[in-house]
Amino acid sequence: MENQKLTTVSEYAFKQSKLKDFFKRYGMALIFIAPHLVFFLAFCIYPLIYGIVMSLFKYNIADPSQNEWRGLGNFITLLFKADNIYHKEFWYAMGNTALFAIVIVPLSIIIPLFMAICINAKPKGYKLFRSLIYLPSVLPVSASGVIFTALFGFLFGYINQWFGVSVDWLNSNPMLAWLVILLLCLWGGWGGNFIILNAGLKNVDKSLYEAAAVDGCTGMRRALAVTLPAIKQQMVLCIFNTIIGYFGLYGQIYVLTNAGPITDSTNHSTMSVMWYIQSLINSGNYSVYGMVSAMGLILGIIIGIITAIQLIITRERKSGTKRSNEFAEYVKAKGAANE
Amino acid sequence: MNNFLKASLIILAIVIIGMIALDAVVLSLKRRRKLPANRVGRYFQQNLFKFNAFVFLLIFCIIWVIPLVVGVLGSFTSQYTFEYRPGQLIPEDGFTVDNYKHFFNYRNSASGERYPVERWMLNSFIVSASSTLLYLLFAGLSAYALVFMKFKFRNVLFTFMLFTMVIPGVATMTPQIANMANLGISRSLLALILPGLGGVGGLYLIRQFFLGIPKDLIESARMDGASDFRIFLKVVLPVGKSVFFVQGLFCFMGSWNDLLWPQIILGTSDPSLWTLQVGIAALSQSKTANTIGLNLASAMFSAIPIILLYIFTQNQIIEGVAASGVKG
Amino acid sequence: MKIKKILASALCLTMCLAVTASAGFITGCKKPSRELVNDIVFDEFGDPIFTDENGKGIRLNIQSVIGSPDNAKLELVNTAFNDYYRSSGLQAEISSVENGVFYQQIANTITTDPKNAPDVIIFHSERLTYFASQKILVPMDQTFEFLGDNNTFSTDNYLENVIAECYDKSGTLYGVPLDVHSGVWYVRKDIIEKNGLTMPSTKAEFEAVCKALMEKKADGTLWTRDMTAVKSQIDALSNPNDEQAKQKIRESAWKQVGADTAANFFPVEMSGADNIEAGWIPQSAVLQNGGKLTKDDGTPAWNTSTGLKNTLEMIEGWQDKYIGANRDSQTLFANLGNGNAVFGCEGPWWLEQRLNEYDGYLGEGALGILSLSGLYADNPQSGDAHKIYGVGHVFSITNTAANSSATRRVAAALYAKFMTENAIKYTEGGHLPACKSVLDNPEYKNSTAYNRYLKFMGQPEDYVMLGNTQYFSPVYEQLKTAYIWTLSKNKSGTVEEHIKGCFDEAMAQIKGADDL
Repeated sequence: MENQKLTTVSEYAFKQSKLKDFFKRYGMALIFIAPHLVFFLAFCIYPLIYGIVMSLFKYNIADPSQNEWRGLGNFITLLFKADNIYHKEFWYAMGNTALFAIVIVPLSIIIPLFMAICINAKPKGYKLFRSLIYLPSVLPVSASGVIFTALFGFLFGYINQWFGVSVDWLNSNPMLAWLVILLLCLWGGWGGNFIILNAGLKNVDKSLYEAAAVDGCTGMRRALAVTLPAIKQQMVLCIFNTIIGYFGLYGQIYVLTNAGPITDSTNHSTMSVMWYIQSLINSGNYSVYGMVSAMGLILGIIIGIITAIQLIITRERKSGTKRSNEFAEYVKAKGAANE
Repeated sequence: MNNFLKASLIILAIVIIGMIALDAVVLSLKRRRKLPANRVGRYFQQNLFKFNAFVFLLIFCIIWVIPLVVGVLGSFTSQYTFEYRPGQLIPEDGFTVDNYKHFFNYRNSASGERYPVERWMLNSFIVSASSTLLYLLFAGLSAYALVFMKFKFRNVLFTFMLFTMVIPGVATMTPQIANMANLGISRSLLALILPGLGGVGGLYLIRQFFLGIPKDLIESARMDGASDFRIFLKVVLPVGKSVFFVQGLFCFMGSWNDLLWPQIILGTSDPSLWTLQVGIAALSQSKTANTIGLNLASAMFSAIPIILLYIFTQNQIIEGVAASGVKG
Repeated sequence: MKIKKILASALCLTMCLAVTASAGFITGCKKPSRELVNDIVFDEFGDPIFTDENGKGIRLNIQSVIGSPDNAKLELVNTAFNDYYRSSGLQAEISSVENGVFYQQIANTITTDPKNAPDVIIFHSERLTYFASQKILVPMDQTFEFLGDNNTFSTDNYLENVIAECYDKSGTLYGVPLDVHSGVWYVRKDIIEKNGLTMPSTKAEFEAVCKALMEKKADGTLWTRDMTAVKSQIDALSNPNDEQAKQKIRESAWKQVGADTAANFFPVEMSGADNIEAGWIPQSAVLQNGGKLTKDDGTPAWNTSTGLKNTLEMIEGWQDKYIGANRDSQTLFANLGNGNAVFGCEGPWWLEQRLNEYDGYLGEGALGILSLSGLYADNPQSGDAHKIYGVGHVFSITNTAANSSATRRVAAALYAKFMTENAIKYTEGGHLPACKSVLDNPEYKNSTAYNRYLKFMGQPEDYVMLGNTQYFSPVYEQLKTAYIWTLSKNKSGTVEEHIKGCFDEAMAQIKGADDL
């Protein structure tokens, strides 16, 4: 009997100490991540789950008694039913957005990279240049949009007056309207990437450069072979942010063209996915929220797929153990040759 | 074409051609090692790229700044100039402060009261500042835990958070509104501050930076017997100053410039609760005041505080980035 | 390793799901009930008592889409209400909300935000049928019935054509109409008369006037007068009351111009980026030719209207002939003022301001007002020729938790009744009252607003509304789009093709919404 009691007590003590141990070890970590996690759960996850649930219904925000279970119906409509108006408009907008992103992402990475390299060379007054380049990005989209409307206005716009031409930038040809939207996105959007790349360049270990100099690798070759791989983390972050950002393109379109000039084929020639979703929410039809959530989810999944593809690609390009294996073989070969 | 424009285009062409010529000459001389040994030669020997960079940046920045100049000068231009002498940056009839005066004295035509424009700035400032400070604190703590403290689901948790980042905000807007109403904060500034505190983008940035901090820094502090909290305060915060400044700027800007969410939350309520962006949007929708000058003035007005903040903190950012702690 | 990661992520996910779902359930449970509770207490006169045991009265919270400048007029009527009901503890406060924001927010606010939801909403009556079907409104007639024998509300007191819009599909009344209005033509009457012409009243006459003016321009015999020049001269007078000097300035401002001196003169100001008249003219064109805007099932019926086709073709032909290029709402009053245009279609809420301006600088009668009545009828003799498309505002009680109290509902209903029956001050904003007692009131007939402009806005009985349709947006917006396409430089095709294209789009939208 005593034995049993002893065992029980020691087991009990063991369990207690395990719990205490757990809190001792992980308690601090829990405290540290708790505040952020709480807000994350309450304001990111909960609406997300709610949104997913909404997309499975015909969800009416005015009269919940009109909700009907649709299962995957909304998704099937969006993906397969080609004669449904939501399907047509959604994929048209998606096409516009994807095309725009493809055109602008390279521009948004390469040119800021080039600027960052130039700044990194520390010419005279580089601090001023750096702050000037970043400055337009801090402006709100409404402000920079207003400036661009003043610049590209038809009757009184500055560009038309300075160059003596009479081009209706925003209301005639969708291509021109896209051009203006592109310029606005570039003007107001490079700053973020620029700062991140610049910070990355600064953090590159100087010893790498010294090693490259010893090997006689300078200028362009050095930029490609040494600098670029060293800032890979930042480049990935930039590409990641830019793609996500431009798939969510909304503000610039709203301010400049409000989905743009009427053409023979469509009323909304510069429509983006976000703009379409926003217009559905504002359309005054209160039953459309299930479909809207489904659209948002599909958009999210597409963005996720793109980022996954891009992460996989960059992982493959990473040298990994390739270079060090080559070096080891080189040393071995040299050693063998020396003998 | 404007004469001034013609002149500047010609100058631009000359400069570009000159630079290309200069580069060709210097490079060919370098290759043949025939660069003269005087001051100029030595300068070009070492700093050719710097010089190129300088000229390029100069030209780029001049063009880059043009829209900003247009915005500022345009906000001081009268409507008369816009209609009758369009295209003049420096109006013949002189500058006018009317647009700004109109903006400050804008009246709510129903009640006849003046819109509380300064109140809007204050609201914007409160919301942006508190959400920035709180977010930096929370995300900093969280990133520290994710990088320096070992617990079981560390990476899994972070990857999970990352996955949720791809869903666009718009899909979660309606549930978020219901969320606010359930919590009872639906018509207050809290509804603007709280949702952003769960964001993952900033956490990612800060964590990336923390990953780059040398581990021996932390280990040596641990060996000295410091608790995690002290390490966070005394070691990580000073080292991470730069990333905190950068993320803080992003946070502040994002919150200040946000129009969509505050309009949804506050749009139908008392104007003294509005933020600056909501107020400006309301003004530009009004039937009686949709002129270019006024729009530019209100746009500039909303941007100036942020520009000032940027000018004053960018020095910290630069200094922070330059320092990098213990060298291996 | 990878599988373990996925499993761990899934574990995380389910953990979060559990936590958040429970949180959602708990908070969701708190929603207060919207079931009607009959808690009315009557006093000795049979009137409901609006103060509770603590003496606290009822404060109604109203949200209205009426913006500036006419919301100031509505505020005057609201003040009168507050004065009248102060002793019984009933007060009301209106907040004016921008159009787009209001419609986006209202349903969500009513169902999810009880504290801040308005008790009464003032909105456009074309949406009432839809709102009623979404159960965010409370039946108005049933609410009035709570007053029993003391109920003095009667639908007969309102214009039949206007209150018809306030019913839902089943015939229940959901709102009390406030007003009705349409666009008006602001006309430089002085220019027309100086050139020896008269104000048009039919489609043919309107076009004839434009034609005559353009011929005079080609001849170089067109008389026009720039009000901005007169304005600066009159403002510079040392004695502002010197009528003789003013007359001299007005007379001397007349100029005879031709094609070179008045290159910018085009008689009609329409369209441009804002297309505000798209919401009145095409609809009136349908109605004045015997057509209907909606079918009984709520789908659009304007596609078969030959009157619409003829009017749009006429307007299409006016482009660059009578309508100048690059016009928009900014240029409308400017061009009207400086004599570069003679007809401009805009909302009636500017009438008071503009009349003050023109009367002051050019003398009374310089600015004429033309309602849309009869201007688009192919047959001016037909009975339909005088119809005008009407847009109306309506008061409705919202279906919120606060309004589950019958006392509050009755208070809101009495508010709607008071505001609509005492709307004389509001009509100064350029709206015709929907309440017959206002129309018959001699104070209304003798008011300055009536005699200066309201009486030119056509007969209130001639106004026809959109009709009780669920699909107000496809029906209304697509008709506007047909007009916009006609005047758009980017759209090729005939008017018939535009009408058909817009109709097909409307039907696709309706089908999409039904299939949701």
